[in-house]
Amino acid sequence: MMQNNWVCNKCNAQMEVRETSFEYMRLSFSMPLPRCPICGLVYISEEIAKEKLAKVEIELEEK
Amino acid sequence: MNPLEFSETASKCLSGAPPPCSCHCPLDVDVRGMMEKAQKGLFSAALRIYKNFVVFPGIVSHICGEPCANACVRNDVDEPLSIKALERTCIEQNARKRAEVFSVGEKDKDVLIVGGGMSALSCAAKMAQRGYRVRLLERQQKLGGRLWGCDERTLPAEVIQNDLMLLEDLKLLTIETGVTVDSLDAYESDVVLIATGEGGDTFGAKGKRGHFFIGSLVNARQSIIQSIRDGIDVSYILENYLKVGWMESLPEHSNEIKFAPTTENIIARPAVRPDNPAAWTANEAKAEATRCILCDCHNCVDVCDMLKSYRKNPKKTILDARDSIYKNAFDLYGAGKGLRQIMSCSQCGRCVSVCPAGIDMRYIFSDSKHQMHQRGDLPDSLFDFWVRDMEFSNGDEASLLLEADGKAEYLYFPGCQMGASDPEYVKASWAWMNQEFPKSATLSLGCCGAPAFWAGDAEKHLEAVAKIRDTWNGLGCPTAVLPCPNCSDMFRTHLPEIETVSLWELMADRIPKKYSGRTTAISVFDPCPSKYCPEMQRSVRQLLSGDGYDIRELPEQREAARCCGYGGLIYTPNAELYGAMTQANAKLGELDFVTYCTNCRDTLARSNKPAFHMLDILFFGGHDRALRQPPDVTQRRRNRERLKRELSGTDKGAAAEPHKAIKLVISGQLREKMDRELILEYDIAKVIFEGEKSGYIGRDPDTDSYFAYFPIGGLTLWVSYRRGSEGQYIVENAYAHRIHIINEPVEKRGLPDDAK
Repeated sequence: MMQNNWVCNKCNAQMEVRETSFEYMRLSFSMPLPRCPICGLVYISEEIAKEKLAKVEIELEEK
Repeated sequence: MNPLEFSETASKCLSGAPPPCSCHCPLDVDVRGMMEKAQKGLFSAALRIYKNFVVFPGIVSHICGEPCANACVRNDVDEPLSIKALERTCIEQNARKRAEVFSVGEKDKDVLIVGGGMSALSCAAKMAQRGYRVRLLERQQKLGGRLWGCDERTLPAEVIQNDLMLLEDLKLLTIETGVTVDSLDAYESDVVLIATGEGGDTFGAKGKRGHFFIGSLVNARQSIIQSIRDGIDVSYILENYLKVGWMESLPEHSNEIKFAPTTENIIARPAVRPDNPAAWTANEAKAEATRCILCDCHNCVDVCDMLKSYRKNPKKTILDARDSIYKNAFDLYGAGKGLRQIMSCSQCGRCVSVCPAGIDMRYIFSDSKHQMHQRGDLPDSLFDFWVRDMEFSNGDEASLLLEADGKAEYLYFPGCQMGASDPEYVKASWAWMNQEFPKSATLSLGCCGAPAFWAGDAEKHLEAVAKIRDTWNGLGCPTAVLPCPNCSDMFRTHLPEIETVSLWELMADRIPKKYSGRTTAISVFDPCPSKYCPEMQRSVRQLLSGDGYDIRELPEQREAARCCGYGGLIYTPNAELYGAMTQANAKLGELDFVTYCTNCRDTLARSNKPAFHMLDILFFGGHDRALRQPPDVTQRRRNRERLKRELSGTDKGAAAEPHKAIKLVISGQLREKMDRELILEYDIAKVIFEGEKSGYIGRDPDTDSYFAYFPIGGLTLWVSYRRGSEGQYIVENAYAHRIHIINEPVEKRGLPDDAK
């Protein structure tokens, strides 16, 4: 997916970069990601999933 | 295994054990360490090692009887390594250099040594090197005692003098010669060593605390080398006494050889003949040193692509596995580094058969995985795809029991992947079973539980095993007929009460030899678990030669069978290793392969190595089936659904889930990616279905693209798509991650209602 101009289809609201929480291997962390300001729908691009998140996944698994 | 068992197992590992030459050396010289340095021309580093073991390098290298040469493994190949000559060369190459002296911190303890023979001098040197203040008193004007009585041709006086001069470098050692000691009362010290030689004075100190006796005073007529050994040994005893007050006696030494490599792979190389045998040049010595094969046990590493890739001592591998399991219990920061290696074991078992210490590395990795899963420290989502695949095979969509008309004598269990690869395999072999055993054969489609076992998930594994046991009991305990070597291994290990026979063994006894006149040459790729079923390996070869094939064995086969890459589910945790293994397998032999595990066949074919399944040859005439590309992950499921429908004659499958009715348009390129990343079309449909149903989707007004995401097993799957005509969805992309998003609306939909 490219850098699209995402809108939450349910709330019809432009997605905004907001802090998003994650949990993995009993540890949690957060990072800013596009979210719907109303319902909280998140968008994670393939680039973020495969680069940033994949790196964190391995770090948390091998901590 | 508990932490202690891990540590005990590691201590049994012979990696780093002394080589045969060192075992036979009365001074335990680390010949391997020396040769490693000498091979690189680092003679001063080699000398440092030598000196550390012998204290007096010149003297020892002249008088030792070279028992190491008799123990050298090259004796069985060509000629032993010239170890003694190399030791002397190390000394000669450093003759003009002043030895480096490393001083450790001075300790506030005084050692008194009475006597100046070799045991006393060796002990004095060792104690002074370790920071103790040593005062040595010798009655004679000269040090060295019996040394001076040696034949000048064996031990020149110059060599003795040079070695004794080494003692002058030890600042904490004070030597007084020409001193007659009448009583020890005049000397203050924390410990006393009495080494006054054969028939010497004991000063009435026998039995007194802190007084030790050594050398010819205790053992008359012992060799000079033995005196040096005793001197070194007693230095440790004195040190222990000074530290904790223990009075110990000299240890006994064994020259038992714990590990010697087999000689079959040692390349014969004639010994170097130096121009002047009395003075080797550096180049001659270096060339001779390279004849040393540095005997050490790395048998398991030699046969394992995974252990090789980690470049670790096997002992460390075992201890790293232990630390990864107990990292939280013992608060070991960063100990999880062993996890990836634990997850990278393909469970092929080659390491087990080559370990001279009988260490079962296969079990160590498997047990580690199970323990980590139980503790919640294993990233289960890495194995999620296969565990779900197992559940699919054992679920309503694909599992099937076709009972015999009469009493079941045989239970045909083709395993889950045979029908996934090609339903025709199962249909043809089942037809053969029916023809050979009319009314007494029963068919059971399902999975043996290997994926859950490999994922360390004991609960799901035992569930799968229990299902098989219940079916078998319900049928009156028939003999299980197994074509798959993995199933055979699982039955052997986890269902030992079930009598089994391989399909190939049954066929070898019943399919007549054709003598077709064909002389096609072919190589058998033995699946790794077949090493536990030699009968299966024999039967397959019997069937092939009966069919006119000329079998050319691969360099690694039978008990040395390699894993195709599927075993242990290493693909997700270590794709790089998987790639390296599949590439190496494809290059094992030039001819087409034939194998009898569907996973092996499909994995080989995926890396473009022409490979037949035995059933391709027996029922489909071989031909171009070796080149058949395996179906993708989605098709593998559809094949199993289709097989069930066709064999049962009715649509007994599970009630179709609503998302399966969704029509998707997926490009060939995306399908390839989905196959690589183990993403099922069904799962994409599920994500879109849930997104569209709940409305929790994103939209790009500029491109009319949508995105949706949904938890699938332990993963979050993302799909971008466009809405097509007639209810179709055009899938643009799909990808997944293991990390969970928390506190947001979509993920909650994947949870049970009460957890939302």
